[in-house]
Amino acid sequence: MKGWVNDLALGVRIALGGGRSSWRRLALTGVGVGLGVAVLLVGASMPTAAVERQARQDHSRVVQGQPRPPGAVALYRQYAPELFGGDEIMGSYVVPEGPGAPIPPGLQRIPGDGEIVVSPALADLLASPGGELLRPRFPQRVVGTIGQEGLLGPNHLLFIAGDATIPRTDQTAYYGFGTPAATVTDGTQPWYWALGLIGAVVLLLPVLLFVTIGTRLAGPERERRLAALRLLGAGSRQVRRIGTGDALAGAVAGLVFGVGFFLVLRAFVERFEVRGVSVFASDLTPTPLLGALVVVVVPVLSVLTALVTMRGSLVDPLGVVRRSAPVRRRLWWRLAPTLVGVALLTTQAQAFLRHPSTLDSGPSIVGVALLLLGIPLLLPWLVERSVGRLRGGAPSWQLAVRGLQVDSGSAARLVGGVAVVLAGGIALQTLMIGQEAGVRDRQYVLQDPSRVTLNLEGDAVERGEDLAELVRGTSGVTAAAFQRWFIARMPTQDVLYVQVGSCDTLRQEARIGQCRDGDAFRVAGAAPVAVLPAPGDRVDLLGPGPLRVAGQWTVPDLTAVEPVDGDPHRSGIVLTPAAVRGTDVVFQSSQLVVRIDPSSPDVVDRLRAALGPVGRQAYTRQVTPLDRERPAADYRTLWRLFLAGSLVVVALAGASLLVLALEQVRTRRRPLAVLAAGGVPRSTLAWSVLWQNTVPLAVAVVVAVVVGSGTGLLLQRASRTPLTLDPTGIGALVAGIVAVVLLVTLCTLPAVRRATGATGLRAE
Amino acid sequence: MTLLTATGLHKAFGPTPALAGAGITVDAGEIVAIMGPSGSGKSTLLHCLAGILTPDAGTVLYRDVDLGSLPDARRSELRRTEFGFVFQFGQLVPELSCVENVALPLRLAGIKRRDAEARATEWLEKLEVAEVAAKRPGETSGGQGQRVAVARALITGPKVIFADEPTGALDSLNGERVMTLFLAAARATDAAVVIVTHEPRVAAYADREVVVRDGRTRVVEPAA
Repeated sequence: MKGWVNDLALGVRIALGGGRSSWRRLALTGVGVGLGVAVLLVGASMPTAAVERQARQDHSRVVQGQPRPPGAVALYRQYAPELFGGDEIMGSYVVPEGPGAPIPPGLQRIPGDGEIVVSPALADLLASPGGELLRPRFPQRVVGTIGQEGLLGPNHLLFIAGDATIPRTDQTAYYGFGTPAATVTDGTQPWYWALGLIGAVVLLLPVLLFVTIGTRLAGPERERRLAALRLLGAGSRQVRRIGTGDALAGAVAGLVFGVGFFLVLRAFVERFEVRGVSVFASDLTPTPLLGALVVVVVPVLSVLTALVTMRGSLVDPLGVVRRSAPVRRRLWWRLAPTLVGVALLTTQAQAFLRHPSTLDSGPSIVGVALLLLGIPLLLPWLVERSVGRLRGGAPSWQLAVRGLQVDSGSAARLVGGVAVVLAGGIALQTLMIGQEAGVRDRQYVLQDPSRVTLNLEGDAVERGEDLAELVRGTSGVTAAAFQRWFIARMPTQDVLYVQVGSCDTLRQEARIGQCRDGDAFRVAGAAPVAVLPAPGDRVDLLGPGPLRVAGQWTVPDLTAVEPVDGDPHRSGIVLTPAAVRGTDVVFQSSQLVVRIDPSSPDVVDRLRAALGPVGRQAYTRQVTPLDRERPAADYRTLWRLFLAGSLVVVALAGASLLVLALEQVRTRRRPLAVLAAGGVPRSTLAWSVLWQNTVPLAVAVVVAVVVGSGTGLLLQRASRTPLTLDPTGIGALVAGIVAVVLLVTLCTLPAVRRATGATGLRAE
Repeated sequence: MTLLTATGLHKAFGPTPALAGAGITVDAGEIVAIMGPSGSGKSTLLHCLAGILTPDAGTVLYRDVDLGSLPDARRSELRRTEFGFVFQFGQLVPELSCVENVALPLRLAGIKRRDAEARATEWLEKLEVAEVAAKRPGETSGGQGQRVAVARALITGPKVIFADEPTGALDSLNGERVMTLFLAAARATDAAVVIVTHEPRVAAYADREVVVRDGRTRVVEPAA
């Protein structure tokens, strides 16, 4: 056992003790493996982030309409979310019933009337130049900041304002915070998470590949060092143990670098936001199990790779010899994951068509993972077969192709990682296009972007006409009208919503010619949806609150008009205010209907700012032009996140490719120097390096485009979204990868220049 | 006719001087052996003569053109068209077959692959290694590889061939064979040969010897 430890320690010492070149190689391996480790640690932190976030969410949750516990004091609370510039601002107005009322999490005390506490992110937004239109909505005095325990994340926009006018009813009474509730989902969530998981698979798979490639790159150098040890009397098994120690040093360096990168990322994580979700730095902590797994898996993977690499060669006292001629690669087992992946995705689509209400993303993700896993398995075979058929061409081409014919494995493995990222990117992009369009069509196709409806409450109702006049002066507002609604129940038990407003207001709904206060109209398209009561009919009046009969109303004479938009299915009764004056009508809601120019920037925020002094008594949850983009923007955010991850992985691939190219230049230094001495232009040698990188990459790109597009189309089919491809997006991804290869080749040129110098010719 | 004239060559690598006033002349069709102990500067002298290295001081004239005044690209072209090279080992591109290695200089000169390889095959036959044409260098013996390298050096019809320890990695029998074939082929094309060697046996093939010691040259006249 002691001997084993000594051998391992010797391996580590050899890895560290080779002077500057050893340290450089160790640093390169460390950075390469470290980037992978950092990504893995972020992945290992996701459960913590989710659990902590959920815990804070549960801690802040309240349930409406709970019975009063004995001795409990209520906090009257009205939820009043806001939208600003496409961001959701959550918040509530509160007033305590008395001392001992529950204090919302993150607060020291309940804000008094006219006071407000805000989250740090909202405080920043209000203080920023961009918050100019938001400030009028919060005229209250800011008396504090909401602490972390009351926030979902650092970018959570939240306020809690004191307001003594809140109605003190059972519906607004709350007796405590921290009630767990069932998970709320929206229609986009499963696919959103499926996309996220696919993205994680796409990014983590190459990371593991690069960890193994980084270890393989140091292989020949390691074997040469070990050959020298064999000459000194080390046995073949002992050499393996020393090699393990050598590989372990690189892996440990990678872990150290990786933890460093992770800590740097953690320091900046609060600045990022994904789908309105931000993460506190303290939340980005790997779970002990997953963290330990990363710490164990990376070195084990490195050591196993080193041992597998050494199996192919015989480390002898007189040098390293290949154990045997390279074995011709077999296709059948390399193709298996791809076929299983296709089968899974195909059956998933069929299952989905049979049961369209559910989509279990599990098999889809496994299918995608298998398809992507198939790429690095297929590529060595494909590259070998492709370059095996190449003949002729310019000398630079011939040099590159012949080089690849001798050994294409390393290059194919390396571009395999790039191909996985590319294929995953194309698949995600293809899928997102369909989902993004689907979300827009599903949720917002019927919304009129030129109309904003604000609900009025309390005193604001009495000032409805004045407020309409006020907002008419806002830039971008083309018209504003005050309208009220009451509910009538006909003898048929059908419920009828009756609108009451000025002639101008009613003209926004129906084609009304002559009109004066006191007129009543029957709006009906060619195919009305409801049977309307006739003049003289008596109907029940309902409300307010729970639908109880509050009186009766006799339908006046009605003038027939058509809907303003010509909708044949639209029907209803609209009245001018004098038509209901003196009756028992009980209004259910009062609204400001504002017509806006949707192309005018920030018009909705200006409109809300104009109504700022009215506070919570004038609010809207209506989707604005900016808000309409929000779900689509969520997908774009996910896409941006994926692109950022891809950037890291491609940078990792670029770094690995560079190390591989430099290693090739180094091992071929003498032939290169002889060629240069013989007058071979350096440009020819540079081109040969470029071709040597490009040819496997070209095969990889073709495979990635085929697999990525195919995967995306299969997923589109599974989700029943229209089959569409995005050639521009695919082109951009491919161009990015090609640019990386060109950059790597450029970075290789100084090494080629050095290698072709006269020192490479010296034999003594 | 004098092809190469080098005078007052100085070259240092960092603080270490390799050449300190070396000079040499090489006539057309002449075989010159540069001899000297290890580290004496003989390889550096050869690299300066071939335009691979630029001396710190002194001039190298090839057909009255100062190599130091030529840009790198022009010097490369000169080496490709007028000079040939044979080194001790590792000079063949391991991924190319032997015939492709020999054909490479012609390919670089723009000659079609088929024609270049046909001429390469002829040269391999002349040097009696036609049987390894399709093999890669790693599959040949040391002597065979060296003859392939000689074929590559001669295929462009160079005016001067520079050989740096051409038999250094071979046993005496193979060394003899390579030198005999090499010099016979060189004489047949009237090429001058500059051989760097520390073996008197190899130097014996030369018309005259130049000894390098401590970076300086001394001409040894051939025995009468």
